[in-house]
Amino acid sequence: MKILVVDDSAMMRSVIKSTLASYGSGKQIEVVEAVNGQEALDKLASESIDLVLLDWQMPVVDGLSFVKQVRGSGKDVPIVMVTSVTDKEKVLEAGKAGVNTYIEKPVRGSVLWENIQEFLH
Amino acid sequence: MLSVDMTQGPIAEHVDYPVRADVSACITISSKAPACVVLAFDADSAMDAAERFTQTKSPFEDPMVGDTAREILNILVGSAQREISEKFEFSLPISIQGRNHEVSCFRKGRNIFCDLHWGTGKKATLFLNLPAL
Repeated sequence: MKILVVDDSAMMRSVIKSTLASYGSGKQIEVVEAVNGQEALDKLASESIDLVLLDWQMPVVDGLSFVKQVRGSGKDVPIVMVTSVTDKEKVLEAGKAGVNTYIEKPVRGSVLWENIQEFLH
Repeated sequence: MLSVDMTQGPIAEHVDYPVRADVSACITISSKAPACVVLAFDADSAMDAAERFTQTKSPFEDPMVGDTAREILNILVGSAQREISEKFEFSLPISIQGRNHEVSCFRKGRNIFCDLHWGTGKKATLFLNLPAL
């Protein structure tokens, strides 16, 4: 299973990566990283990705624009947004754009793991 | 993991200039008049926060330390957004790492600040700089 972690913060990518390694030790999880939405779009186009963990606020192409472009191209890869954006209207907007699950930061490792279970197969 | 549990100290308005920090993160707020939010750390506290997030000790120069400051500020501002009805646009956070640098956005306007404590003696100071009325 290949998970694309998209966050402009190297610290957050590192933390999410170690969470996946720790909780998913029994599963074969490969993590691919991207630092913004554009890099994520490029990775999605060139690699077979099973799940995207996505930040919202990023330079170049932000999380919401990424989701719109992915869904606009017909891709149905599950997208879990992990973000500090908590405004209700924005959360709804993300849902309408095609985000499968929305997790607010700060997030505990166990909560992150629990919320992505349905997409791990 | 993925967070630092902080306790908020009292809110105050008097700021002694210049404000200095070893690591600071800033988000600007777009409204009728621009405002900004700054989170300022001393080196030990910033490194401790980074260690709590990443479970790895980082030297002061490691970009992860500044990244942690940005992320914590992002989370604080994100949480505040939930509590306020008026809509603001927030910039992406930036961070500065440099021992004893001056945080210079406080010279004008009104400042409100409070300390955020965690662990043993670790703290960061959260400043809200509002435009002069």
